[in-house]
Amino acid sequence: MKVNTKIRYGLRTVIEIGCHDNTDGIYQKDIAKDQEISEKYLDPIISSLKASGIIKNVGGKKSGYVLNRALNEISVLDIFQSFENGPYLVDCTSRMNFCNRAPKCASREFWCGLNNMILEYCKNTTIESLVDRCRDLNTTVEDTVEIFERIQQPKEKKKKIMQAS
Amino acid sequence: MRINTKVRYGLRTLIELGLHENEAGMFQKDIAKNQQLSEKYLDPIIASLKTTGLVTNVGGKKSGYILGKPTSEIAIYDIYRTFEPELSIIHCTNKPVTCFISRICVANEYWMGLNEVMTDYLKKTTLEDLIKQHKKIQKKISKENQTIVHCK
Repeated sequence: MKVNTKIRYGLRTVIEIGCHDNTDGIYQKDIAKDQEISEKYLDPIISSLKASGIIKNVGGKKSGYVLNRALNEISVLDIFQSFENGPYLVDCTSRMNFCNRAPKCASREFWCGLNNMILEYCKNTTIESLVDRCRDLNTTVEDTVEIFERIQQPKEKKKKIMQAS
Repeated sequence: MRINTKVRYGLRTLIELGLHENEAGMFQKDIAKNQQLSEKYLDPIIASLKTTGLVTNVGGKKSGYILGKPTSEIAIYDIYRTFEPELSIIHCTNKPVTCFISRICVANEYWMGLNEVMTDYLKKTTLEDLIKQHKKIQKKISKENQTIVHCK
């Protein structure tokens, strides 16, 4: 079970654009460079983000990209849905009449619960919070290293804290 | 992002076994019939569930199946892990080097958070919970059906 690569790269693209608040926007080649994504692979990603109204060209053709809405008005779910419907973990979560067992199926309810959890998680996070986080992370290299370690070893760290207390 | 069909059918197989806990166990053909699954497709599913000890034969070969553990000790994550590796919704969870760039880390951190939320959900729900829920639904449905009869 993986998050679609287009969604992941789409999120990084939007974060990158959100971090550059200059009025000229940012060019595709710079997004590609900063985010270490292939410039060519960004073509379909940027066109999907444009189609769903999340980003736009600042001027005419060949101008840079800016966000089309305020940072706090774009959720990760908006980006998710620029690339696929959903999230749909199983077919029957979206359509009750997909299967005649649906109304009495405890496992369907369970998967729906997980599906809703993903939906809420994506809906409740705005690009603003991720851009803020990005700026925090960029303050010092030490901060980045520390947060990086925290992400990588959440359990060990928790254990240590518990032992210390 | 989809749930593997084997995981889904594996879960339904275990719910079915949990509902029919008797000494004689349950035959594959009956599981298939009750859950409306293909009997043949259950072959690899039951074989995997036997390997991880979630299902066992009650007697020798060709005997019925029973759960290998009490329902309260089977987390849905155990069923997931029977068919899939550790839940990892992004590739770079295991390759930190590719993500060792501050800005990229924000996205990484975000997806890892989702990964954790999902894993917790799968770990904290047990087969016992789902069987209770199944019985609740059945009760509700039969109650509704009775009401319809009375109204007529």
